[in-house]
Amino acid sequence: MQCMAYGKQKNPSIQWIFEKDNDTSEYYSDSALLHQRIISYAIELNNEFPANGIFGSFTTWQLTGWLIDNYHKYQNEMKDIPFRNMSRYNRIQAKLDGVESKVNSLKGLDLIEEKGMRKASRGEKQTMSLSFTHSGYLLAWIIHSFEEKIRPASNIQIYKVLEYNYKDRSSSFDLFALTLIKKYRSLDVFEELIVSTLRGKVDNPKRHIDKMSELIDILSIPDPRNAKIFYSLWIQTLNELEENQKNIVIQYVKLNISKMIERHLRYLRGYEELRFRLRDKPNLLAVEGICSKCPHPCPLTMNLIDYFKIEKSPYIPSGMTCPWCGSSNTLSILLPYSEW
Amino acid sequence: MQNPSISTIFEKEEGGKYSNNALLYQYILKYPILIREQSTNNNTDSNHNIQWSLWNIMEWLKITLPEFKLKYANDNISEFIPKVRRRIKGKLDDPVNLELLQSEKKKQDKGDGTTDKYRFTIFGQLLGWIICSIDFDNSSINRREVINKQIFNILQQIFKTGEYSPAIDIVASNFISTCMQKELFGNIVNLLKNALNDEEIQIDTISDLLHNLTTCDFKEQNSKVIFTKLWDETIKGLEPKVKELVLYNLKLSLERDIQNHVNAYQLYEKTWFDNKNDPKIVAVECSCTTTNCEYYTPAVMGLMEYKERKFYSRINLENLTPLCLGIYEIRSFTNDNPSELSAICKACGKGSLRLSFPS
Repeated sequence: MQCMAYGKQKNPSIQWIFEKDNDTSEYYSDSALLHQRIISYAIELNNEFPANGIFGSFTTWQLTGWLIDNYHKYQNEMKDIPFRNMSRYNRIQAKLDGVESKVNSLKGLDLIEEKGMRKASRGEKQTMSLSFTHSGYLLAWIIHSFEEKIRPASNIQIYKVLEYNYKDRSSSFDLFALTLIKKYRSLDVFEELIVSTLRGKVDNPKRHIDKMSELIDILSIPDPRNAKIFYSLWIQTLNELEENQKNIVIQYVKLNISKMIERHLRYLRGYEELRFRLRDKPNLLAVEGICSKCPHPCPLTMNLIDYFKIEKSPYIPSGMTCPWCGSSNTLSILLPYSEW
Repeated sequence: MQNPSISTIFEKEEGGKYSNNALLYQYILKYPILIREQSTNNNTDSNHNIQWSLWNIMEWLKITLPEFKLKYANDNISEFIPKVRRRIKGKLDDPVNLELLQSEKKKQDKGDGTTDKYRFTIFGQLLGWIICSIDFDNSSINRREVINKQIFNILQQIFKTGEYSPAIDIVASNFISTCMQKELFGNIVNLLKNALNDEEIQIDTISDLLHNLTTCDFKEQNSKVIFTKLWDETIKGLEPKVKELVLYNLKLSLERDIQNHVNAYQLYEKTWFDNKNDPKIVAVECSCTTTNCEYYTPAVMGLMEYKERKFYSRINLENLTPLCLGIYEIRSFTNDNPSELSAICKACGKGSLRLSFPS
């Protein structure tokens, strides 16, 4: 039973924030809109990404008060009975539980973090102080970037968050990714290759993005539509690294792609055996081809760099023979992220 | 509008009773089991995977589903069907989307038209028997054993152990066989039932349900200890080729989690890369226990030992029974605290090294 191998218990997912009313609707659900508005509060608190990477803190009470003034659904509700005649205190109190539950799911997604207890603004009670994480701030600007006129400002802030985090971690992959985004910016393709890609991925109902780290990981893999420009910059940046750093980056990217491929396999055993055999070869990737004639799935080896050149999915590599029926040039490879 | 989900089949109202819609789904899933029992006098061993139509199930639900029996007691079949047809058809579409039911167009017995014929998939059969098991929670031991045997047989069909089977299926198949041999299979059925009935666990698909089995996700800690130990023993007992695949898959998954929490990336990644080929070990990062000593160092550790340490770091030993404490005593590490390692920090020379486990 192949599908269970990588199944999991349901945790909060980034998908919830971009959930539509139904499969065919272009409108976000009420729950998604509230999540999005809460995340936007990150920008209200910090219009610019702070140089020290530390964001201002807030409480759920303050956030709820802001939502009452700035979230259209709440604004409209407040005009009607029973809210119309309520004090501001009672209005916030009435909406607090609903906001708190959304804040909890955003905490589960590492978009908001707890900063410890602090004295409430009124009375003697203690209240939890919260702060947006870098991922939360990044997502806030991705959401803002859907509005075209805010896009230039979004691009600057998204660049700053990514730059800060890549610098902060200093792994070979982070160094590689930092150099790459610098190139994108200097060539004026940052919006096209990064921000537009991020927007497309979070907003696509076919996506399987549960965590922000998955979203960021995808940035290391070419979108077939941009394969040409992405590939040349990718190779150029890779070649600027030292040999050992280069191998580590390739291995890291190979495993990221492999994780995406796992979700779409028809012949898992064949794939896992090939992946195991290729474990000491960072530049070789296990993929799955489907024969158009017989039509069996079969595991195939591809050079990772060649895989990056693919501009169209499904891709038919030349000179390959189906091991099941012996036909030539009938195997096609489906890019796991092609629907993005 | 939400996508269909397995959890909808077990949706409860305030007060803990299943909703009318949940009961309707459940009766549909039990239909082939109960119809065969009703017609062959309790012969549950027979193949119950018959093909049936919307009309067949509507007739049967009228005389079986408590809600319909009460509401439509005075209706004859031709009065009853127009009132419920749309609702029941909707409740058949969801199991089809969830891959619990298969439908195909067949020529009608009378006339030239076609009609949908339904048959349960192996997953639908599994869920049907689990629902029967929930219904018969308080029935005789014999009855429960018959149901458990059916569930066991279905799981063995789902987790095949052939040359082309994924490694995880082989572990799962061997694991449930061991549970059956040790007369512990009833606990596995309870695990699945509890997961379905737990409103805090969202189960969208059958693979979500079966994931509870592969992670031995028992709520009760003693059961967790016993079954995780059995699962680990199953991995150790696999034939070498399959074991390598299972360990390598586990290694990739564990290291992915560890990487997200590493502090000294440059040091860690070298150890991680140098040890990428060995499925039996995992690259970890250790830190010093002394306050203010911010020393982080990479290390490698046996994968099964790391897995065991991570598992026990979440177990409260005070809640364990003597049997489970006995299992804990034969763990692969000697420290009392699963996070602690028997190595002194090279930076300060005072503290010892410890592991931290990603959630």
